[in-house]
Amino acid sequence: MSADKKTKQEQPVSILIVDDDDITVKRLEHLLLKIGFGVQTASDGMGALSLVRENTFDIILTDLMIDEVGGLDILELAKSRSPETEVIIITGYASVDSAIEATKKGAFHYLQKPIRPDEVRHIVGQAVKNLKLSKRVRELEDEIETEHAFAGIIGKSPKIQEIKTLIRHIEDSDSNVLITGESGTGKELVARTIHETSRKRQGTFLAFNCAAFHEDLVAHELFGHEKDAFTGASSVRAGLIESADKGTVFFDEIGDMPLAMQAKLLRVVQERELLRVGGTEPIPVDIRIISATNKDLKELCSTGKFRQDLYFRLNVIHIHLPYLCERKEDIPILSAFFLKRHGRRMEKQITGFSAETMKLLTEYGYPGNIRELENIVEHAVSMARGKTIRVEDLPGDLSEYDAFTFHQPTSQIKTLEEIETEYIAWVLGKVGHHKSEAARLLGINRASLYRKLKRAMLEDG
Amino acid sequence: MDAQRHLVLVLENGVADESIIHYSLKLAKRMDCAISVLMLVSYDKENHAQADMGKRVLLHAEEIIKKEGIRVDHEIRQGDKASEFLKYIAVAPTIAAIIWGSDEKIVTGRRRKKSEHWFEKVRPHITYPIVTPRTRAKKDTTSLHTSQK
Ligand SMILES: Nc1ncnc2c1ncn2[C@@H]1O[C@H](COP(=O)(O)OP(=O)(O)OP(=O)(O)O)[C@@H](O)[C@H]1O
Ligand SMILES: [Mg+2]
Repeated sequence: MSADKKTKQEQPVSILIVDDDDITVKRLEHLLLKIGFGVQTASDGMGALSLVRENTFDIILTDLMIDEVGGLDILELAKSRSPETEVIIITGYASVDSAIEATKKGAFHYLQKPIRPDEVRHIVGQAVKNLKLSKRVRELEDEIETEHAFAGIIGKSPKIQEIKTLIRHIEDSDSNVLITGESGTGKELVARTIHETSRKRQGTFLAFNCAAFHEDLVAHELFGHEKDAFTGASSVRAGLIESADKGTVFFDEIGDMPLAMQAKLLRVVQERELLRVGGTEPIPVDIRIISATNKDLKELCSTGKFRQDLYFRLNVIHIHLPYLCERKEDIPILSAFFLKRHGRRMEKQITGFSAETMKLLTEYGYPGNIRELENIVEHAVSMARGKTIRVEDLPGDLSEYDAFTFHQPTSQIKTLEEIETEYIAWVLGKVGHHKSEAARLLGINRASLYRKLKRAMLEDG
Repeated sequence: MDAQRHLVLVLENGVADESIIHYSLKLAKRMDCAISVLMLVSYDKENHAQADMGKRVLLHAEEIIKKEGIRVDHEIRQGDKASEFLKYIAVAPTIAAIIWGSDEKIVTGRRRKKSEHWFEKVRPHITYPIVTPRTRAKKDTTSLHTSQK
């Protein structure tokens, strides 16, 4: 596999030069060959078109006005065959306006005659950089479409791989699942995936948000009622749980389920039957329960807000979703995935992120996790004017603010010392490991910083 | 009751930096959240001034947030800040994250006082992410209470 990658890398960038002026063609050819590019040339429009039809060039340098065929025709054909080809328009002083027009139609840049070698090297260099970015995004996209995708759950970090493996393992089980994790970490996505890969996938997946209903409404919604259960109940009505028989019920925000309802739910879980409101005849139901919360259910149990017995029944299989910053390595692939999704929707040909942008995206703290990342990318796609997303396209506060986001480690409570260490490491990263600057920002002297670093073993030696 | 997720902007001592409101707005938009502004004022006799100021600050903040089409509610709580905060968190539904909007530096190691800030004590009980924003440029000194005068 690595050998394969190597040959790909060693393949020279292929360039086509089109101009009816032989001297320009010769000069450019000489210059670009010397750098090490693979170069082909054409001196008339028809010849150029057939070359473009038969080959895929990485970069095309073309005169704007050749003969009856123009640079724009070549641009159009090249882009329709391979959108990633970068086209650079060569133009005389008189037609700079049309060249600018061409960049609006997708040309990468324009070069003004007379040709200056420095400028050519610079602009072609930029185009090569762009190509590499597009290639990187395409590789990520391939990954998205193949091994790393599992029913829409994107990510190749060990933490996410573990979760995907777990979901595969429980395909044949009907055990109840509790999903915990911060907002936007994908709890609902995982719940749906579990349903869709389970034996109950032929049945319905019913999502019920426990925080969305008033206590007295919850009972009627979930359990239905008998005729004459209350004034106005003129007929029998089946509740949501009944209607999801043989399927999965997803209780979102389970921590907000009222206590009275918890008792009724416990009966469903334990006895596999329910009573409609006003009813005395138990009705059998066969459902799988997946619940989700970003609250600390154990804590709610200890303060009496959540029934311990119900907690144990719901928490047969526990899936904890890491917050996005716990798996920063997934940020590029997730970003590429959302770029593709929203680029397509907005019909924009954006091939990737500038290095600076990716750096900001990776450093940010994401209190809103994947949902927030998706919204940031969506915003950037709508702002982007060029083919790459630049820092200016991101929401302004990402660069204007230094937002430190503290995430509670759910697996184990951190000590203040650990938090301090994490924060110091973060500040050091921000200032490029400049210790006096870090000490100044932290409001301590250099000596204490050194002491703390030594204690935390952040210091080498 | 509503199921929309909330960002809780925590303020204390009756004051707020205007920029924190705008920061919260931006964050709320991309997290698909409503905003709850919570003002904490410690309880003692001289603190009536802080409480009054706090109420004005809350109304002003609410006005700014509403204008942007974000759902907002506010609450002022007077008493022991740590326990008022925990009580608030315990009954609040669907919190997505907490924004620390006070001037007192937490987590940042820049605290002036030697004594532990009350927020440090409650932090272990919070399962939600806590954001401490700080402008990269020089600190914006416009305060809401001054703009009220
Ligand atoms: N691993 C992932 N790959 C791709 N998209 C994801 C992933 N995880 C989450 N998402 C997307 O992020 C968004 C938020 O996910 P979801 O609604 O499942 O989060 P949640 O944990 O239920 O959040 P909340 O607690 O706020 O309800 C959704 O649009 C979802 O499709
Ligand atoms: Mg959800």
